[in-house]
Amino acid sequence: MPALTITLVAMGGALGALSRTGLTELFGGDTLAPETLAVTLAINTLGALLLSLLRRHAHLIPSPALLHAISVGFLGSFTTWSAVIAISALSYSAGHSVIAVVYLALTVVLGVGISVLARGPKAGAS
Amino acid sequence: MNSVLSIVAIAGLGAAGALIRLGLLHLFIRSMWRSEYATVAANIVGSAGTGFVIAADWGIWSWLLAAGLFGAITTLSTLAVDVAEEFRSRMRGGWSLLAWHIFGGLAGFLIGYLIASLAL
Repeated sequence: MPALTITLVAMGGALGALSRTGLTELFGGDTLAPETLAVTLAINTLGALLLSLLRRHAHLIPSPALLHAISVGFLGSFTTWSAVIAISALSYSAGHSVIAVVYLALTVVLGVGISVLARGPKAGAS
Repeated sequence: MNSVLSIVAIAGLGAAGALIRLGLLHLFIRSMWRSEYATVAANIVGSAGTGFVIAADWGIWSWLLAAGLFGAITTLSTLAVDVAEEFRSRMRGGWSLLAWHIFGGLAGFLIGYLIASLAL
């Protein structure tokens, strides 16, 4: 793997993690606070939308290393699955089973749904 | 820990998380396994790590590791795009991939949590 790709992915990962934690610190609260759930959901949905658009228009990115830096590095680290799992598991153990299931389902439905919409119609479809 | 050190730690751990995910992706591609399952593996490993550090309760370090390292190893954006692509090509494949992410992540979190609860 080229050293440039590794360096750019590391930089993208650092920026993605800083953006996510910065937004969570700014708008969120404790792990199970409604603001934290909302900001994590917004970050994940936005990241899924941006990655879908990036994959659709990947030809516009001139360098494969830069494409990896944005997709695997920045957007991969900006969005998170472990926080969704932790929020759902901790909500369930705190007796809020409805919140646990609804939050997990909402994250998946919004993320996958926006990816389907952003990718546009299937190739060959009318 | 002051805020500058926290920012440096999150940046470093976020970079490490992204590189671990990239490494898993290349490992799966070189092994001729489906690349979508590299993200499944990353999400299970990261969820297990998150469960471990939450149960370990190492104060600021638990938060830094959960938000920085394990938050960056795992990803929702690739999960969403991969599952959407699977649904477009074959519906059963989409459900299967989604189930691996959800139940694998929950199982990983539980295992990590139990190991830390029992061992520490």
